[in-house]
Amino acid sequence: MRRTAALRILWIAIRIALAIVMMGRGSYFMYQGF
Amino acid sequence: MLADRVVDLGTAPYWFTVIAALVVIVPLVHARVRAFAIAGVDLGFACLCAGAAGAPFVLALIALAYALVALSGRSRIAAGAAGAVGLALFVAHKLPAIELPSGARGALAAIGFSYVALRAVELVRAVAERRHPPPRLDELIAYLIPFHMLAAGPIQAYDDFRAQPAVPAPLAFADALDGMDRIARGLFKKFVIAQAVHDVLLTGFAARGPYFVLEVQAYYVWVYLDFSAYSDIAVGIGRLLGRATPENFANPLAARNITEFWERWHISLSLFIRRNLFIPIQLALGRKTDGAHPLATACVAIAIAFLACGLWHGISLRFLAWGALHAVALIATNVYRHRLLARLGRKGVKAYLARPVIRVIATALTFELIAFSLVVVVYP
Repeated sequence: MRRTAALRILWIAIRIALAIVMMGRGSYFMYQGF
Repeated sequence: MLADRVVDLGTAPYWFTVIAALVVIVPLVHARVRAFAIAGVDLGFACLCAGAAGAPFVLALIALAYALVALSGRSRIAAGAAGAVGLALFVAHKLPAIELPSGARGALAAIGFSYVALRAVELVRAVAERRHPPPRLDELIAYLIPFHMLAAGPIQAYDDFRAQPAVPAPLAFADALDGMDRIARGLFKKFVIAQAVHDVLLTGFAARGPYFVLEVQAYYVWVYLDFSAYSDIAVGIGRLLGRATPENFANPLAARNITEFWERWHISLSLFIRRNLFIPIQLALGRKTDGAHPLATACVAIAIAFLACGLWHGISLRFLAWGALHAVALIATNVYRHRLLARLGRKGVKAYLARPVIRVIATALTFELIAFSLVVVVYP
């Protein structure tokens, strides 16, 4: 149980870290009324 | 058609607001204090996005909405006035050629007025039809401009907003993990996968020949990844804060026909159209014809609803054509289903649609229809 939670937290952290690295590169699709 | 990056998920103010909202709202267990804090965060964020020039307009708009919604419960004229004001602001928001007072245009973009207008329709209808009492000011703010749903929806039904508990159950570890997981999924989808699809495959339809066909597919996938990522992040934040936030996507790329596509794509918009356009129009037509032509009335209701849906996305001939294309496809699907039912019966249709070959062909055709319908709007 604890191991599963720890692995999920690690996976969450990896994805957020990768997203932060990629942020600010532009190309946002703003779906505000398409 | 691509609006300004006003509510930018890649900047500090958005995530600062998320963290501030979590710190302030989650521990609050007193219903009124909690509602007040939520409204404070929502209004503060809207004003922050609107900037110094737009913030007074946001405040004036909220005050006007509060007055008109309150009066809508007592007078049909007030409900009509609310509709007229909303429609005028919506048209002004969509048409940059229309001149607006200083700060107003930025403010309308900052609060995502396309979505605010739909929430306002839900609210005014609920109050005018006496399904709910007029909301308090803090409730009105939390419903019309929820900070985590400003960027790209979802569009919450007012009934669902009212149905949520004033104080949710304390945030359990498992719920917090689910919420964080959803946010991480959204961030990864948007900033890593969608970004990669954009950078590697999209040329702004500058390429010709076979690559154009490939880009059409990639563009649809990109729009799905990017848009559904916004919804993932909104749902995740809503889960952490204990604020009901509707699901907006259910794997639309796997839809087997366009009716199913609209049950899987931008679900909150589809449900809004069904509640506020399709059903009222179909009922009105059904009453006029004494229910003699159910298929024809459904087709007319679909046509009107989806032409309006096209114009909601953008007031232009391209969006009108996009809406018309979807309306024609939906009507054709509806008529085809009726014919199949008449020929094969309910069991026969089920068996026919379950055949792997039919499933693959139907899914591929639906994918291409949606992908090429986007080109109508975005081709330079």
